[in-house]
Amino acid sequence: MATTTNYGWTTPDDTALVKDGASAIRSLGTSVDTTTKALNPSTTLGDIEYRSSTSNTNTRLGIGSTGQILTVANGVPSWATAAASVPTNGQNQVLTSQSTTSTSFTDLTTSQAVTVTTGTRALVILSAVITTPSPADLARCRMGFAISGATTVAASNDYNLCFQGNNANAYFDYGGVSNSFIVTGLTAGSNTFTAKFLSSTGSAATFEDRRIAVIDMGS
Amino acid sequence: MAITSKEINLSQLSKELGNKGLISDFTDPKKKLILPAEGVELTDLELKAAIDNHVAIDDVAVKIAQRQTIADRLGLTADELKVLLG
Repeated sequence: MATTTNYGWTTPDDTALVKDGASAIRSLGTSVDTTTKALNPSTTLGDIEYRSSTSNTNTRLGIGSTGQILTVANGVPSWATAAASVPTNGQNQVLTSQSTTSTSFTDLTTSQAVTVTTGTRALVILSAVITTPSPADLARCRMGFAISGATTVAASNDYNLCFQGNNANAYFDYGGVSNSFIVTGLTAGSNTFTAKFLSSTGSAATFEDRRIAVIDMGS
Repeated sequence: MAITSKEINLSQLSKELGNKGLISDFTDPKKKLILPAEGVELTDLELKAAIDNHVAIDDVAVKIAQRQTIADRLGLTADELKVLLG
């Protein structure tokens, strides 16, 4: 008996004498029906099908819930709840006025840190109200941050906000400043960003209402 | 760490300690906190001794006095000097 090319349905040979035509047609119809159902197993509104590991046999995937998205798990499609649209983030604020004479980056009396689970990139926003030493001192008052946890990076002038008193007409300079950075090259995981401070000349730099905010930027 | 109610000029105190970095919180004037900065080797006894010997210079008063001296030398009042300096 001959068979069809794609699905192997049995058909009479060209040279065969048709002894039982009804039986042959019924057998072919049954094969077509079985194959069609295997390829189209949908039963319910919204169903979709995907190819299974068995040839010519699809698997039914029922419709997901409102808001779910089509994704892939274990090599096959599935419906899943969409990830939160707000990225992981954190902020730490210290209102108290505190000072340092350190010429290298240091914690202030109240240490200030934010721990965020990040990818390899994060947005870091620093702000503070800074009072410089006397203007003639020309101290550069810096607020930076160190990273610890999954990633280890020391505080440096690469990522910092800087405020310098250079107005000879003022007794002291005072102002709110902010700076922001996209930090790359992080090791994905739980990273702690700790604010650090210095005064370039060793004269007292004062920081108040200081904030460090970190927003995960993915990988 | 040291706690004091004394008048403290932190920049001056730092210099008196040999330019050692300090951190401070003067929120409560009766309990001013002073600590060594990160990586600074300074014992509590050394810090306390320096604070005991410390006589704070009022930076603002010094600046005002300097301004008056300059004004006097220029034959101006301090206010006239301030206007000229903008």
